[in-house]
Order: sequence, then structure tokens, then C-alpha cells
Amino acid sequence: MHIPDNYLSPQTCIAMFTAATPVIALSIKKVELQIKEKKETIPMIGISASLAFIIMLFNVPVPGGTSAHAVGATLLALLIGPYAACIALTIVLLMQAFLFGDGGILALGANIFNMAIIMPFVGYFCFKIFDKFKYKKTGAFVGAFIGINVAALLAGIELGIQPIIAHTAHNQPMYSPYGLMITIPAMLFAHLVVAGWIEAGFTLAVYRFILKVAPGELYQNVKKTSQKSYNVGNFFKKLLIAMIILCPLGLLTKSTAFGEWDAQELKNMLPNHLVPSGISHGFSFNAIFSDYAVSGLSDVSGYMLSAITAVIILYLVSKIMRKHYHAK
Amino acid sequence: MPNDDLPNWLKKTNHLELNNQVVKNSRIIQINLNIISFFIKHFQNEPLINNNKQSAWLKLISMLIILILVLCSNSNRFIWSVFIIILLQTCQLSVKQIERLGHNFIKMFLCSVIFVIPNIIIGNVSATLFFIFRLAIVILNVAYFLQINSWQQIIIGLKQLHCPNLIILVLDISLKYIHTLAIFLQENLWAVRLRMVGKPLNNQRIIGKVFGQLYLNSKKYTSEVFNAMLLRGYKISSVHKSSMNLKKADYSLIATNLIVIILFITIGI
Amino acid sequence: MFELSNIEFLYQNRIGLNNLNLKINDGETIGIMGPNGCGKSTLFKLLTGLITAKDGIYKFNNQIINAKTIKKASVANYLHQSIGYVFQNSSSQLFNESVTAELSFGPLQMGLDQNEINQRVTDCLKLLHIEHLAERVPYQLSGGEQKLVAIASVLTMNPPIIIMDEPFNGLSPKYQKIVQKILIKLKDANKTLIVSSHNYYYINEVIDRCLIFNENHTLKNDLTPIKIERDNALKTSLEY
Repeated sequence: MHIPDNYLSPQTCIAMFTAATPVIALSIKKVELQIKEKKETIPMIGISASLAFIIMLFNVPVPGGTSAHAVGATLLALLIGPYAACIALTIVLLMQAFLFGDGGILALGANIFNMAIIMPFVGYFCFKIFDKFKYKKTGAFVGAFIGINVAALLAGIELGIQPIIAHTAHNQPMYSPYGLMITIPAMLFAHLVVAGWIEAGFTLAVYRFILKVAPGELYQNVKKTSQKSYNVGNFFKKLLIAMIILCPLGLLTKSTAFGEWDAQELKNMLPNHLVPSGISHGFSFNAIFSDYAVSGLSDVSGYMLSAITAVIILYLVSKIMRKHYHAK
Repeated sequence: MPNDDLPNWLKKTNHLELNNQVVKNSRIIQINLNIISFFIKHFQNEPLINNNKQSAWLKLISMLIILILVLCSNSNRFIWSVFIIILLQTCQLSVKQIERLGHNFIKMFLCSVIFVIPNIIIGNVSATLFFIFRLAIVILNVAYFLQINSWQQIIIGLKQLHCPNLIILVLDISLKYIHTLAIFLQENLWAVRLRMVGKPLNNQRIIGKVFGQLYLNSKKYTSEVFNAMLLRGYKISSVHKSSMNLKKADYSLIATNLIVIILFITIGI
Repeated sequence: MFELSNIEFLYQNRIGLNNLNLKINDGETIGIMGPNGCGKSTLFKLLTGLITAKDGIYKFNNQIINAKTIKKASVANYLHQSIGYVFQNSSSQLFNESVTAELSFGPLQMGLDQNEINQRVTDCLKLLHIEHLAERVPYQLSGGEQKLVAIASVLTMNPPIIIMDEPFNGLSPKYQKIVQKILIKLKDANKTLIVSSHNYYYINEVIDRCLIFNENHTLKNDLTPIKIERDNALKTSLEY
């Protein structure tokens, strides 16, 4: 699932780096808390990163005679926790890019987002649901399967939107030439039919062994100190992640969002082309970034810049609000 | 029977005969042994690093600038110019380094180009050819960067660019431990292979056991590593000093980057 | 029977074994000694087919073992079923969820029936005095305990040839004596034994010959214990 360079536009790469950064920063903060309680966490993450690296080298057999590589992201989340797993996997992807040239350097943001963030967190979240009903092993299997498929779906979207957001004047795609109609089915098919089962089978096999032999070595949830502050931080984190994921979808629509038409568009839509006088002669306001466009840049770049600005502002607001709740 | 005496089945020594019957065995162990052995050899390869005395952070930034500009460009002329610039830089390397660079370039290029080949078959020949050309230059740029930088220099560069302390430390530990882990895994797989004497293995269970064992032994190892770190005076809250001073050798790199930027502005878009 | 002629092995650019000529007959007990890094473990990996020589010929019971022939499953099975190998680093040799499972693994692969497997496991636990470790998890055991479990896991397969890489490392004096006695009994049962040790006096009573390697990864001496006893200087040099 490593996306090489040249398949994603620089705008996408920067957007994915920006999307990944707050989550990595949050993971670092969480892990630093873990380190305060248990100082061996630092070498533990380093060693887990090495383990993840080796796992990605390993060829896992598939019934039917073929074999493929597992990622081990969900497994790592079950062993050392999702935040530490996020950091460990980020390190692995860095190493793969710089050691073997596996996966692009500018595409690292996207690869980190898909494999170091989405996979372990989604996988762990699914596991926790099953864990509540005491189905740990099923949770491990299903979590790994869903985690890798969600990551594959995102990779498919990232690749598929390239012809839409980055093309020459002659409508030739500048980067990945395959549209969403090709990339999403291709990625999902490969992972739903083959890679997902490898990942799930591998995760289950290792998890089952450790559960039997040394259950105490599995990740135990850190106790929540203050319910209130956790909820606020959690809320903003989820909101941020949801916004970042859904943001690029806006680029897909060519038509204007409901209710955001200007007077001319409204005239074309209404019967008899009659526009209410208040709208036709109404207040005129030119915002700095109207229609998310920045003068001198293409629509898409402007859209992305606006998105990035919004994300950063939201992060800053959340930081202030969390501090405010902590102080209380 | 006293405890010290051998049991009767152990007293019998049967010398076996070579049986040329085809026996089904688990190939997956051998495949992975080959992969791990190859990886250990690759890791043990002494890096042929050209010590060109340029600052680590600047080399990293330079690689990223060229990467971004090439990716933003639609112009064959600009990308060809960058190709010439990289080739000129490559001329400064030794023959062995050039060979290694070529070998790595081909490997990385083939892995990346494969996904775009179907587009030629569909019929979008010219766009795909430009894509492949630009891909080649992107990969050459990265391969050249990897050739002139050892891992230590990459880590120094990241430190100088204010990468979080935790990431640097974890990266350092991971790199050092990968080799130990790979050797341990190789011995584990050898132990499995030595007992592959007939019945096909239950692959899933074996892989679960092998990796479970790897993780548990690694966990045991962490407390030893951490104690070793403490004994050598490691403090968790230490603030690393990073200097981004420019050296004499950096000015040529800065000049190269300025040329690339000017070319991009004039012919790149 | 092992026959090695002009064997050379390289780790990348580093010599592992240098111009080795060696013959070991069935039923012999051979001691291997030499300084750290002289090639003892490399020799064992070569004999068991885990690595293959760059140059030279290795024949096992007149079957040539090289990179090509070891790929055949029949040759690999023949070699692995004939030779039991106790690794120097026992923790990497053990991978099952309990000591009992570890000891059962080899016989299970050989296709023995469950009653016989249970009998062999019980006997080997008794022989090594490790019945108390039967249900323990191998990775949680101490270094010495892992060594004993590794030896037992090889014995349950009852191979005609047993190679042990520093079997006395990490063992308490009591267990060193137990292992020494087992070696003598295995020798009486006509097994071919190849044992490396840093202490000559752990193995002098059981070996027929002692192969002494030097720092250049070559075989310096191939002597019987009687000859070693007569050579004071040599005897002293082995006392490390």
C-alpha cells in the first residue's frame, strides 16, 4: 500500500502531511505521558518499530498458493497501544523511504496517514468494540481486516482524485492517471479479497499466541484521569480528523453547495428566472478568500490552502480550550 | 529405570537412508529465510558514502526542493535540465558508488513504474511517457540523496531541522535493533527448518509462534537496553543542541538549488 | 559420515572458514575448540545445511551438499532428520508455547503417534531433570533452563548425529555434570557427537578426537585426548 512519489500532486502531499502532523503530535504527547509512568517505553517503541519493519519484510502465505506482506499496524496497536503504534509505524515508514526507497518521500505524509494513523486507530477501535463483549480474538481479526481496508480505501481516494485536482490545460492528468472509478475498486478488491485476510490472519495468529502465553504483555488501557478534559480533547481530535478526511471530497463536486448560489446561479435555477429583489440588489461583500479562491493561485490550490488554514486554526482553538478545561 | 540411564528408544541409533520420494514441505519458511538472509547481507554492506562535507540539513532540504519543483513542473525542458544537474553531481562519485546508485535506481524505478504501465495499454501514451520520464528523475534524485548520505547523517539532518527528540531517539534505537532482530528471526526460522522433516507445517500457527516469540523476547530486551542507556548517562528530558551553520562546501549546493529554482521559474511551468 | 574438502566460507568479505579439510566417521565423538569467532558455529551451520560453502566439497554419507542439492526437499529432510543441532543461543531455538509443546514438535513432524511422542517427552524431561519445567513458557526461562530444554527438544527426535554448540554455557555445575553424563551415554549408544566447548575438561572424557581451530579460521590441530595430555603447552593453551 506504499504510494510512490510522482503519483500524488504536491498539493495532496502537503495536505496529507498537514493532516498527519496533529495526530503525530498528539501521539507524541500521549506517549510522553506513558514515558513518565514507564520509562522503558522509549526503547519499547524503537524495538516495536524494528519489529514492524521486519513484519513488513515477511512473506505470509495465503491459501491458494500465493503469499504477500502483512503490515502489522493493528497488531502493534494491540501490543503497545494505538499512540505508540502510530509513532512506531511512522518511524518504519521513514526508514523504508530512506533505507530502501520504498514508498515516496513526498508521499510519506499520505503513507503515514494511511498506515500509521488510520490503520492502527481504526483497527484498535474495532477491537475495543468486540473486546467489550469479551470477543478478543474475533476483535483482533475483524479489527485488522477493517483497518487495512479503510486504509486501502483512503489510498484509493487519494490516488483517484489526482486526475480531478491536477491536470494540464488539455485535461491530461499530471500525476496518478487513474480516476476514482478505477483506484477505489482496485484497492478495495486487492485488500478485501487478498491482503485483508493476510493481515487479519497474521494479526490473529500472533495475538492468539501472546494472549495464551503472556497476556500481561498486551497493551493495557491507560486510566483516564479527568473525564471532562479527556472528552473535550477527544471531541476536538475526532472533529479534526473527520474534517481532514472529508475535506478533499469537496473538490469532487463541480456544482455549488446547496444554498450557496450567487444571484446569477439562482436566476438560472428558479422558475421564470425571477430572483427576489432583496437578493438581486442585496448587500455585496467581498471576503478575502471568497469561494475559497486565492488570487494568483488555481481554484484547487486555493481550496487546499483554505483547508489547511482552517485545520490549523481549529487545532489552536482546541489547544486553548483544552488548557482552559485542564485549569478548571 | 534410574533417571541417568537413557530410555530404550534413545539407545537405538538408526542411520537413515536418502529417500528420493517427493515430500511436501513448507516453502514459506525457506522463502522467508532467503528474504531475511538477503536483508541481513544488505544491512551489513558497508555504505559507500561520499563524504562531501556538506551540511546534513542542507542536503535534505535540497533534495526536497528539487523533488517538489520537479513534481510541480510540466516542462520536459526543465526536467531534462534537472536530470543534467543530477548527472553532473553523480560524476563526482566513485565508480563503485555510481554502480551502487545505478543498481538502486533501477530497483526503485521498476517498483514505482509498474503501476502506470496499464495506462499505456489503455492508449494514453504521451501523457504516460512524460509521467515515466518525470518519475525517473524523481527517483534518481532520491537515489542520489540516499547514496551521498549515511543513516547517521540523515538523523543529524533531521535533528538540525528540529524534528521531535522522541522521533530521533526512537529512529536511532530502531536502526540499531533491526539487525539484532533480523538475526534472531533468522535463527528462529533455522530452528523451524531443522525440524521440517516430513509433515507439512501448519503455517499460520508457526508464523504466530515465531512472531509472538520475537515480540516477547524483544520486550525482555527493552529493559536491558534502557538500563544500558541509563548507565551511559541518558536523560529523558535532555534538550539537544542543533546548529544549522553553513560550511564552505554548502555554498555550491545552495548555488545548485538557486539554479534549479531559476530554471523552474523561467522554463519549469 | 562427514567429508569436507577445501571448504571456504565467507560472510560478505569476512572469512568464516578457511581451507577446511575434515573427515568424521559414524559413531565418533568429536570435540571442537578454538578462540571466539574462529568458525565453530559456522562449521555447524555448514554441516546442518543452513549455510553452504563458497568453495570446496561437502559430502554427507556420500551425498554432496551444496546450494543446489539442499534445495531438494528430500535431501534437506534427510540431512535434518539425521542431524540434531543445539544452537549456541538457545532462546532463538525455542518457539513453542510450552516446554512440552517444544519437545513434542520434532516427533510430531516425524509423524510418530501420540503415545510414543508423550513417552519420549516424559523420558527426556526426566533425563535432563527438568520435569518441573514441563508447562512453563520457554521465553520466560533462564538461559541455562533454555539450554536444557533445547537439548531435550533435539533428543526427542533421536537423531543418529547430534551437534551441540557450547552446551555447557549458562549451566550450573549440577547440570553440567548431568549433560556430561548424557553425552557419555549417547556415545555408548553409538551416536555421532560433535560438541564445542571453551573448557577442555568438560569434554575430555567423552571425545575421541579434538579439533582445534585458530584465529585464522583454519583447523590447526586434530588430536586425540592422549596426545593432548602429553603436550603440556597445548593442554595449558586449552585451559581457558
